[in-house]
Amino acid sequence: MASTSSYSSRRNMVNGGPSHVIPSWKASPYLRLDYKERSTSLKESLAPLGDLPIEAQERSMLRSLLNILQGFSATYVCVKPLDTEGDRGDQSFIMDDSLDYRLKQHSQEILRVASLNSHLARFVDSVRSTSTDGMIVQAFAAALRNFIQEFGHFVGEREEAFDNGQLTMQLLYSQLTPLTRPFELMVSLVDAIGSEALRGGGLLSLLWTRLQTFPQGRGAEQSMLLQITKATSAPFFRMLQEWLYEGSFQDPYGEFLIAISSSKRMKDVQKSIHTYHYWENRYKLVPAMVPKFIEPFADKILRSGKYLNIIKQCDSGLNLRQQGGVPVQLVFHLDVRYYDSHIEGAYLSASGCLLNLMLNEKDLLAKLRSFKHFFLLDQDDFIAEFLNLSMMDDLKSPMQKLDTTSLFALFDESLKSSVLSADPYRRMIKPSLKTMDFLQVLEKGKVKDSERSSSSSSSEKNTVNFALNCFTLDCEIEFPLCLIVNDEAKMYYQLLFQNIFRLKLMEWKVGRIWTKCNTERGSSFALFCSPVVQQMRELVKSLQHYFCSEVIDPYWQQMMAAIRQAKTFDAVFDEHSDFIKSCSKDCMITTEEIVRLLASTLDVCNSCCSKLMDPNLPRQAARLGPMMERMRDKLTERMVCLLANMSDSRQNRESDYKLVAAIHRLDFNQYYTRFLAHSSRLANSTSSSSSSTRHHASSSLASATSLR
Amino acid sequence: MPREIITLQLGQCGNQIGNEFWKKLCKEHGIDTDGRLINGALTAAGGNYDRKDVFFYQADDDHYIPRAVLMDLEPRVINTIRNSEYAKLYNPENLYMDNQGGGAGNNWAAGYRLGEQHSEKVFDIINREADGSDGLEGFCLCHSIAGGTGSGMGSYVLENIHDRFPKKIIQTYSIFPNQDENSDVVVGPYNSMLTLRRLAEHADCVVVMDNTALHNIAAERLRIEKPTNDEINNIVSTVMSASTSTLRYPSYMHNDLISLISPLIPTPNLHFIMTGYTPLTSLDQGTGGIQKTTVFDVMRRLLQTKNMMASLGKYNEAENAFISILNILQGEVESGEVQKSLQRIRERKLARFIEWGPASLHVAHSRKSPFVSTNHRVSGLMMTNHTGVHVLFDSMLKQYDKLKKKGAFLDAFKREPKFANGLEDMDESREVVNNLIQEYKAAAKPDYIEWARTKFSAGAGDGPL
Repeated sequence: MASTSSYSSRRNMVNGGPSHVIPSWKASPYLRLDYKERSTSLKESLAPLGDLPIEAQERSMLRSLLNILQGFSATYVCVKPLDTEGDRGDQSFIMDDSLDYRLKQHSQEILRVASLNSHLARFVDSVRSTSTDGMIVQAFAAALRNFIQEFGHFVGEREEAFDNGQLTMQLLYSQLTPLTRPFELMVSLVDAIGSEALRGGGLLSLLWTRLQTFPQGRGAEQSMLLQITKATSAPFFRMLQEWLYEGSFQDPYGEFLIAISSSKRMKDVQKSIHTYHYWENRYKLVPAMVPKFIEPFADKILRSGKYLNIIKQCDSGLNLRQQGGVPVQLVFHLDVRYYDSHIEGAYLSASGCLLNLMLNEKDLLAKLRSFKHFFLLDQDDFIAEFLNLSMMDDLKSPMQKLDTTSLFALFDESLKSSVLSADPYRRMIKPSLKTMDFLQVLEKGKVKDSERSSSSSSSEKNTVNFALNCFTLDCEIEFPLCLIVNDEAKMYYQLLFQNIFRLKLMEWKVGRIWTKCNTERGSSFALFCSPVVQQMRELVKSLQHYFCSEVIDPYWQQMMAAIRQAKTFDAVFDEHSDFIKSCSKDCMITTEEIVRLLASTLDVCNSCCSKLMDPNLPRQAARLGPMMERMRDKLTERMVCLLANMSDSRQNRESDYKLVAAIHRLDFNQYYTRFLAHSSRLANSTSSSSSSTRHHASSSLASATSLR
Repeated sequence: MPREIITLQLGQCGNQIGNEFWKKLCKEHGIDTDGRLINGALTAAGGNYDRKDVFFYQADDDHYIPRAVLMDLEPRVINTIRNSEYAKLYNPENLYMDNQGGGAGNNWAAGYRLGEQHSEKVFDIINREADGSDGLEGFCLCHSIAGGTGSGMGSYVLENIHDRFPKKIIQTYSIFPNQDENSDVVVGPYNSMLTLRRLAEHADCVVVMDNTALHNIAAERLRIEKPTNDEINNIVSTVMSASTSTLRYPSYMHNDLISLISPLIPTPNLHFIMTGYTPLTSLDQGTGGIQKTTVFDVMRRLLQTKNMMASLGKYNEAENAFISILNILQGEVESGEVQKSLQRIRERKLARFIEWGPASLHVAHSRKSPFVSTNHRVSGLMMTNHTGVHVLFDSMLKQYDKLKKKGAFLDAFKREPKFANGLEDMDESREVVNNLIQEYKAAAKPDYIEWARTKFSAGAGDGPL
């Protein structure tokens, strides 16, 4: 017999699997269920049966058949060696050819059962001879062994009848043939398992599929199959039970629908165990191991146990068993609703439990509020102060020359007098300087890539990053809250902060110039600068208002309302992730073209501010006037472009209601609309070649403003 | 460093409205009459942090002291405050009055002279207050422009603060005289004109509180036949507290004085702000009735001139325009409602804006004090720079001209050092106000910027052209 069993060929031992040594079954053939001896022919010495009287023929043959059926060798039937490699294939027998024709016919039918039995026996033996097939295959094999043993009992009873002279070939035949179909059913299972190397959940799927597609009117076999399925699935349900209700993972043979991703370095695990990344990758579904009957709930199963494990890591006083209620003893069930209700129950309990932990013990809502205070600046009374303190020299300097410690000290200083100094979680937030500025991060575009993958391109090295543009906040979020505010969310928060911060900075500069205009009222400076200052301030204020009051705040209220209703961790996670993404989208930091146009508009403002704050600015009306006029024109042109583009992208996406609000905000008194109407009239009357962008802009802006 | 604001209260009117203002602030921040936090005020805020230190500082025993300097040339009003329950609130060293003084006799020039006389002591106090703040942002002056102390001494203080603290913002809450009835201050038009000049030249932002309009509003909105001073002061202090609410309850925007007022004032000369408030309640909260308030209701009502606290008489809507608007809403405001209201106002063209630059109706949603309950769901304050304000100046100019033509009551002025050498200041003041009127009129037209430039090149301007 081939030494490698095909039934167990596929498996490798799972890491950390059982280390006990399993005795080699092959070494002791008498422990095998299958035939111990095989030979190619009947003993030569035997006289042909056909020479005996028919009664003697029947007795001798019955004796032999009973032996064969019980797995022994027999006088008049020879167990042939297997044709096929491995253990599979039918077992064939050699009979004395001279046997009576009728007896031979019956014997052949009876031997058919023996062949099937042998097939099963070989499977059971092969499973027993390996330790890597797993508990589910073992359970299946055990069920088969029971079946074989029951068959053995059956044959034993027939033998007793034979000894009492009460068994005839006819009788044995009629009693055995009904068993052919159950045997065939088993063999077909065994074959399927063998050929697809099924194990674990895959094996259960096979059984489930067979049960589902079982032909009508074969109730006995169906109930037998159900019996076997129940027995086979017992180890699975034990695992499921422990996972669902306790989060414990005991799967030495890799049969469960979930696998733990093995981490190479344990030290790393220790360090990273409290990160989102770790938990996101810690458990994975193994599709091949998902039994079909719980396929729809696989994800919930994964989450349930994962959440329980997270809770365990939190060192909280929660008693998981209590939280989960009294666990139900899970068994195999034909009705899918059974799994639905129990798995849903376990999931709700685990996810809800984690949520409660976050809300009650980790103060999630207050921390989110702190995020809103700092990253979204909903109570901003410190940025202006920070700029006052640091603007003069620190933030203007290029990154390389920056003294970050002093900058960060100034940030702390500006927070001291802020209302946010009363924020219990202000220590969570730290100022931070990125290596890339806001736009570079955005241009990296794939906002999804974290900036660790910064393959420093040549363009980055050439541009000088001013500290200001790279200034943002950072935060350390404790476990398990980092599962909600994960790295991606944090990056969005940072982008949203920078998006507002650049406007705050602009507002601060404009405010300085405004003050200068006021102190020098009546001067040419005040006269010529005021209009452009006003225009910049309107832009900055309107954008801020749009971002904060029309995007962030409404989404925030929505999220908070939803979180208050939420029952599970996942619901809160989704709400938060929706919030941060909706904000990013509607704050226009995800639409490339608008990002670019807005940035270029703000660039114009920036250069304008620099000129106006320049002490060497010419004071003569003759020079200052035209200079300011040019700035206004440039700014207006950029604004028109921006507005047109926004209205275009609005038209592309019908549902984009917020952009309309933004357009209306930026052009509330229709200054730009009028400007366009005016310039296009001019263009028409002179029929000069006015820039096509302006033309295009005019039409789309006009349509945008007329649409409501 | 908070962006502190020091409040300067001058004269009878200034001190009365100032005192009401502080009462309101104390209530809103849960501070009792002695300056101590009322029980639970620390916890009641529950994450809704307020910013007391813009207007208060804390003594060594932690009680809150207003950053206020109370000045008067006669002791009556300040003594009343001293004997009131709020006696212990103020820093006693900041109460400056002339104990023997009989006031300025409703004479601007006398007020100005006395202001000069007392300037050393007054500025000692102001300097001490300024030194005591970490990041002083500006001053807030409360006064009336028609009397003697508030107008005359106020003008003196204004000029000097402007010189001594050139980079600080000066905002005033200026009570304009009631023009409907014959005032007991016969020289009111002179006083007003002289003060208006200082407001035009030295203040960064003047919140015009017009007594005429205040009385009308009290009569019509609150249905009070004979509004008392207390009722009027209540309205004024309501406006003052609402207009500072974003400074005290920081929100996304408008959290310091400059970001609050600079959007309202596009060019330095046009810095006269009118206000409107709705819904108003009288002192006993009984009259006036409770209305249903929605954000749109409030915003729409604020745009109506009859709710504006400046009487614009025969004002022609078509010839005037909003230069800027900031609505500060308090209460249960959903941002969605604000957005919808803005859209409706824009579509229905409920507000006519200037055409010479981008302008919009800004809205700040200020958090509400947890210590004050109101009957209304939403309330709103409008601060607006509106070209119609010239109507008010115009009528004051006319009254001045009428009086001046007759040469009436000029003797009292001529006796004062300021006018010892002639009445040029009066004529100059008239010119300044007239220019202001012209500029506001021009601002209503689309070519305002060109107008301003032409005017600038016509004048000498500064330095060689």
